[in-house]
Amino acid sequence: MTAHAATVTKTSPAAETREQALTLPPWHVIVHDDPVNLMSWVTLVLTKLFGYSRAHAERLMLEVHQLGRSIVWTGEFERAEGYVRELHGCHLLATLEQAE
Amino acid sequence: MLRLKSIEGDLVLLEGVDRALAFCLRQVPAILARRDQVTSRERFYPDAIPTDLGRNAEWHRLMGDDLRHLFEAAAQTYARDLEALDLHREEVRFPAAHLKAWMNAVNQARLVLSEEHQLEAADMQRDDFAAGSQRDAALLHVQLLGYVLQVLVEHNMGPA
Repeated sequence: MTAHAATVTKTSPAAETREQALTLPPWHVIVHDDPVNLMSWVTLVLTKLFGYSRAHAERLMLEVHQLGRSIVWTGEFERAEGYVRELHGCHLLATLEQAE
Repeated sequence: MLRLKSIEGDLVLLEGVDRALAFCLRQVPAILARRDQVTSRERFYPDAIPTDLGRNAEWHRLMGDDLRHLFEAAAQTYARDLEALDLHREEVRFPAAHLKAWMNAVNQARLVLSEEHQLEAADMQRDDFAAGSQRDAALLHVQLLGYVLQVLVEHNMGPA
């Protein structure tokens, strides 16, 4: 075993966790349609929470309205979880799904 | 006509609050007191990870109180601000920083009423309210609060 190979195998637990997080499939944040929330309210929530442009937020809102659901964000679990919590706080029906 | 505008001192003024709208707005705190009853609970605290029962249960355990606190804080802010409603002038002024709480509280009330009366998407387009029907009275209330919410959202969103 070469010295170089030895340093590669001795990764710290924190680095391993980071590496693991990078290799895991990301999570989708999905917003589902519901009969009560106003379309303008859904658009406002998406612009404020994710920083999306109004045009992009409206596209996502229409997808929710017409198709019943829309993936509004994809990324690491902790951030996705935080977004779903915020969406629930704004009364949007939102779930987390691991990407294929 | 209902209108929201910014005024001096970081305040906003909601004007055009006629007696019918004032009645609807004043009902909101009593409606929100029913938020955690069985009929509404699932709607306010929905599943986040339905495909993973363990994680989903953990979610409810960790987030339930947090969400409850958020909803309650919005309801209290709204109720306090609404005390300033001037029926004679048909207006109420409140801090612009409370706008988010107002939108949250008004929408909460819409959801509570909708869950209590099992209102559906088709109901939201209806305007044939039957006299004496509690369900239709609730539907009208949901629609009027939707009108108020729309005005608040438009102010918050700004021009397109």
